[in-house]
Amino acid sequence: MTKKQIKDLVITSYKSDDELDEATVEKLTDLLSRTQLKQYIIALKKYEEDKSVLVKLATLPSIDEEKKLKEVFPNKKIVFDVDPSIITGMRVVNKDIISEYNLKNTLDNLIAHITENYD
Amino acid sequence: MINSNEIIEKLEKRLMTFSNDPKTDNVGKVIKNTDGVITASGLSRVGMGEIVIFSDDSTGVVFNLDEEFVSIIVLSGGGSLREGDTVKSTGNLLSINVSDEILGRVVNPMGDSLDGKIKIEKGKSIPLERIAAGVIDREPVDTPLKTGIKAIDTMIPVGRGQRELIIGDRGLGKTAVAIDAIINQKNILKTQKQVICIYVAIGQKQSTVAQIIQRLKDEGSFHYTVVVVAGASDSAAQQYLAPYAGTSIAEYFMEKGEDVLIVYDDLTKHAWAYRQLSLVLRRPAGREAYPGDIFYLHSRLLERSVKLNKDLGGGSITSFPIIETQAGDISAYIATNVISITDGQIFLQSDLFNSGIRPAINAGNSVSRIGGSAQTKAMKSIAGKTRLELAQFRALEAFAQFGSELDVATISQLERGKRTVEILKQSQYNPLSEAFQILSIWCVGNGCLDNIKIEDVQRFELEMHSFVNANYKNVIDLLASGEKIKETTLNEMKKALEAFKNSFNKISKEIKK
Repeated sequence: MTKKQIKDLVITSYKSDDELDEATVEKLTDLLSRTQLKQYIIALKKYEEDKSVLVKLATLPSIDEEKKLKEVFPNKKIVFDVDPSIITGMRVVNKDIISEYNLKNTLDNLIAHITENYD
Repeated sequence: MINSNEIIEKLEKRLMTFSNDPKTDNVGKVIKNTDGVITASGLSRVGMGEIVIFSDDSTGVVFNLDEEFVSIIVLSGGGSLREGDTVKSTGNLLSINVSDEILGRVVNPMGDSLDGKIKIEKGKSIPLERIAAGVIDREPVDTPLKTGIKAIDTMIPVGRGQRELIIGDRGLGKTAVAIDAIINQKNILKTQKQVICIYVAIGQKQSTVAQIIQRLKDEGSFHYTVVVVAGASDSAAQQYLAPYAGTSIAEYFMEKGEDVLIVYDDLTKHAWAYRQLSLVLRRPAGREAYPGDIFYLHSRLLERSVKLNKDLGGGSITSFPIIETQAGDISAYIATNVISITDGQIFLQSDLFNSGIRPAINAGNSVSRIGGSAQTKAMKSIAGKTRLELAQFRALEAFAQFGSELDVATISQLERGKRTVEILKQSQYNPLSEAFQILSIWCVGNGCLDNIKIEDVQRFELEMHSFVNANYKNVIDLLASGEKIKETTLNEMKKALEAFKNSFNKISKEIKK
């Protein structure tokens, strides 16, 4: 099965509202061989990653914050995750780019700077 | 001693300058781990040759950029990497930390210490891959690099900034020639620039490298030498990077105006390591399964050996790449590649080695494309005809085997040739200064050895050197200056030799009795 065929299969697995169609997926798993299924799963995961953005916050986002983020990523599904370790701010994971806008990262940078430059 | 208040002040200043721009990381996931090569997805913004860090703190360098995957060669660790582990780009190119403290150290291609001392943390970070100096930045090679080996310094002279290949079968003394050249740099006159030496061991046995290091220490040559090791038990990635790491260290010193000698021992194993990496990466295989850019692998390495012009400090890198042949075949793929890149070759032959001629240099097949420009005037005036005479002797020797009667002139030429061959023999770890080399070559060229038995030639040479050094020191000093030999100096040399020959003949007669 070619890459294009796998990609077409992935696109047809989604309903019109961009949610995965469970029935279609189950039908496909019965029809594909083991190798093809593996390729299909990898392509599906990549497709999900490409169309969604993971935002980690220290607390649940306010409505304003959600609205602003939707303006920044208009064509993407935003998934929120609470991670108190970042203290304040957020971490945005968009495909393979991680953007750190949080206090934990600033403090980590400070520690790294001290470690490298002072005995 | 920095006190706490000062540190806090500096931290506060640092906090003020922290920008509001977010830190952005480019990450990926491990898909496959095969023979030291990791295939990862993601890493869409990573560049070729960029360092990446895995979730288990292993490091790697990006080697292949495909449409959806990135191939990474693991540099350290990586044994426990599994599918799904994360990998992060660092934004840094592969480089090595170099400072003056690296002299007298043994390091791996990453700059990690292998001699039990502390790692060199502070210093200049030099990328392993660099573009060689351009045409305008260079200067012609005109300063000799003395190896201390008579056969090389007289007939195949090497200059500072030259690339001279040492090629031959296994066990013929290729490494010995290079090590003797390194040891001879301790005999540099105070009026000349010290040569810093770098020995890059690629795919060598650890025991062999340890012996070399010990020998350098015993000869008092280690304090100006750096040893870069990627042994036989190290990964192909380390063996591939070792020569580039050595060259980066050499460039650090060259850019400070120093002269550097770098030995790559050996580039055959370097080519094998690169072939292994390329095959695992599924790059198209060409002749003898080497990848298509095998020539570029060595050309970009050796092109970095240059002599810089005075505006850039006048430093130089002289390189001795070593290639191992099989059954003396210098027309093999890698051998011909490197021969076409270098400025000459020193060809070691097994027939000569087995017949006791050591160093087993075949003067006929060996060449230095720099030639007389890399010799002092003194050496040039004496050694000019040695190569020709040797070639004529070889031709005559073949002819004489037919057993026909020979005329007196031919016989004397044969005898002279035998003595020339004998005088060019030299024991290992015994480099000679230029003054003594000139004495020996002048001696045989002027017929002083014609009435000395061949088996006594080496003893004659040794005792002659001691005699002249003890009783005619001014001659040694005049010859060591490198200036053209004047008539008065020649007369002094004749006088010294006559005096020595008288005493030598007397002693020989007494020994016979």
